[in-house]
Amino acid sequence: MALPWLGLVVRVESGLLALLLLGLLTWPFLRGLARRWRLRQERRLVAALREVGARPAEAARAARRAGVRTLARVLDDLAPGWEGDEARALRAEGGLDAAVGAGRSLMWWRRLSAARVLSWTAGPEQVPALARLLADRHPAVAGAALLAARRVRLPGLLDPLLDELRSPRSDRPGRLSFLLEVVAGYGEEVVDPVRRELAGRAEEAVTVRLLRLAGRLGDPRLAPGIGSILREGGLEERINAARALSGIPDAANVPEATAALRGALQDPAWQVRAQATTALGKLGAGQAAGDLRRALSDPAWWVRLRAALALRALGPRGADILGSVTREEDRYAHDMAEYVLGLGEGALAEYAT
Amino acid sequence: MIHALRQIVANWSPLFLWYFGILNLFYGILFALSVLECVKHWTLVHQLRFTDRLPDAAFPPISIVVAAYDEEAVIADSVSALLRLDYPAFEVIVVNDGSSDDTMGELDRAFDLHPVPPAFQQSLDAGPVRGFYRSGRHPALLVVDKGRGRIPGRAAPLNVGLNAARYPYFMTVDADTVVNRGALRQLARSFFVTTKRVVGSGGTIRVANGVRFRDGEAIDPRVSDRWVVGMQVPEYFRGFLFGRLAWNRLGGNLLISGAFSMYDKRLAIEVGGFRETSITEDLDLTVRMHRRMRERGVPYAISFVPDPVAWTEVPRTVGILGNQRERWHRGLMDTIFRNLRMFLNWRYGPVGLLGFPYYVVGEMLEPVAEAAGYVVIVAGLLLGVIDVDYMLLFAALAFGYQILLSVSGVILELLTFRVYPRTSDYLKLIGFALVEPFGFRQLTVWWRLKGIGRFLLDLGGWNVQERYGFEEESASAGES
Repeated sequence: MALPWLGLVVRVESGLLALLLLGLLTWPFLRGLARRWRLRQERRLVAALREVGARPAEAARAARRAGVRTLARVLDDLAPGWEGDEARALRAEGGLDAAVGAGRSLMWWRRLSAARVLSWTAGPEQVPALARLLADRHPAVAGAALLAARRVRLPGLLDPLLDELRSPRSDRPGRLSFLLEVVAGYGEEVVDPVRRELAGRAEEAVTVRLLRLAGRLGDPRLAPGIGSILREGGLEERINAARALSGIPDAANVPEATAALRGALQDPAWQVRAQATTALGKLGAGQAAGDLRRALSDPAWWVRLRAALALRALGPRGADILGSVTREEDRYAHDMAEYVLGLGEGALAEYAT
Repeated sequence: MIHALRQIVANWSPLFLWYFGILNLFYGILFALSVLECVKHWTLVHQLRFTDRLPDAAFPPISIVVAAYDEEAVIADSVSALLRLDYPAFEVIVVNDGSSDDTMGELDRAFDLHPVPPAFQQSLDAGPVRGFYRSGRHPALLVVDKGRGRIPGRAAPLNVGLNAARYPYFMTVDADTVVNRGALRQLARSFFVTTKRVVGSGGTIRVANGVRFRDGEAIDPRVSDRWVVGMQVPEYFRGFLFGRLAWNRLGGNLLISGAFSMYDKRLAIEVGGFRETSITEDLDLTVRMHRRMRERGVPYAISFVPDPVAWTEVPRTVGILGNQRERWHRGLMDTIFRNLRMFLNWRYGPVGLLGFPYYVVGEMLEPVAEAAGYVVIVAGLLLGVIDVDYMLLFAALAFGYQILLSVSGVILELLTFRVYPRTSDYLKLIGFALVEPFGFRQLTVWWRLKGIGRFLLDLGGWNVQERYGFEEESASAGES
């Protein structure tokens, strides 16, 4: 039994092995060669960009000629020291044309490099390009565009960012908290649009994301809208509304907010009741002490625990209420009050996290 | 009689040739796909320096769960290294699984533990817990002390850790494993390479024997001179760098190593957490996660990221290595038989049609086929059915191909992530790869056959690996 092709296959295999070993031996040389070539290219571009103030046309030409990846690499090192004029000069002379073009490339790594370039240099004219990159299908490109939006913070980007918040894409891990951070960075500008959105009541998942943003913004003007969602929303919406209110320091002074939180202590879902008790404790809503006392008799253990912790967070008044409960006959409330009064600072911190 | 035997050998030998040919062709495809994946990650890491530039908010918080049983020699170093990880938001949960040594005492002395109440809901039934302790020095460290369960293994303590985890992702790390400082950020890159829901992600395990550590960080990594250890290094390269990387493009990995991998907590709880009776609980959980996501029809990814590295001690004697391989094979068979309905089932997509069949044919049955192949070749030579030239050519082809794959793995690593700074270490690895097929491979076949036998005879048991602790900076790197 002999197969004629077997010898040929063995020869091919040996050849491949020899090639691999040859590659291994020549690799340090080839790598050094590539590095030298790349450094030479970068040095040329750095020299041109350093003179962007004096010779903007030349710098823009060099930026167009260099690959978008090289430009991104150089700008990452150079641009943090720029004061704004350099980027403006580069834009005015069309130095970003190649980068904007690369933003439409089929290759994701070119689009990613484009986002990196725009993160240092984009002006109002590049808003459409950045908006397109924000909605990019590749998560790395969309992430880099978000980084760019945070860096340049152009007013025109607020709408595309809110569009992103409405998109299910923003639910990717890490993406939502990054997006919320960037949008919250717009401060006052974003409060009115969020208030309108909350009043308009989008689908549940979008409302939940908006509630998380509202909690981050911590603006009392948002409290009434959140309070109405806490009363009327779906389960996830109500949980997040209670959590959002605990993020607004002045919510205790907004009657609609405290009324909604106190009302939420009667919610049929224990998760909402637990979240509402936590929020009342965090806000130090003294007027809710009586409601929290009643919550100590809640059928759900977690609600009773959170109510007792909230009372303890209210200070001496809450501690007095807990003390009085330990003398009452309601076994559930009694046991919980005793347990929470016995907790040390470390244990309280454990529950606070 | 002789005639009948000759007939059997003549009829059966082409079957082995076909098995060998198809399997190795598939290995070749896996290698090609892994090169593409490697280039993608390498571009993100080196060309675009992507994750270095993202703000902290872009990284989801992670709970790190460490199951510890009789780990007093290494536990303080391991946990210290974990607490030094460069990652924006994480907690470390160590579950002491009723150790008979002073693991709890070591933890208390090193981290100043104080009892705290359990501030979470118990989602999985994982048995009674003796106490919860928070570190006075590191608020991110929680230690859970549980009694040893009826069934030994990591599953029960990991489930306890999973109950206590407060973040949406959790990572399992072995107590004898040192995770590189930046590895968690690198692992989180899996969220930026796919639009699908990432439900699991694994990093690379490297051999810690022969590597020196300072403050839990690998410094000056070197390949051990001890042959039992050295032989395993190219094996790990092959297994991780292209055995798993390629599966990112073929429907997801069926196995991400439990010594260093990250899972979606909600899904893990939904599928019942780690199964206590499984001896390879990481494989078992990953397969069940695949099943659940496929049955739900939600696009998802269980991916492997090549550059995050965790270092683990591997067996340094032939006996312990044999026990380990035998146990791995029993675990593989156990998981396969429990999920056999996935085999060639279109409902499970590429996992059912490709991944699972590969594990059945290419992993589970491979030692049987290889051993039978040896028998047929020897019998064929004795009976004169196979001539010596043919046998030598075939051996050159088979062993040469294995060497080619091992050397390719070593070179791929060298060209991309280059963990070992010295080229001499890579030459040493190529040396190990060249001799691996002659003796060592046959030993692994034997161990796996024993695993099959023990599984079929239902002889269970864990073979505990002895821990030696990590080498300090002052210690010699060589071990010979």
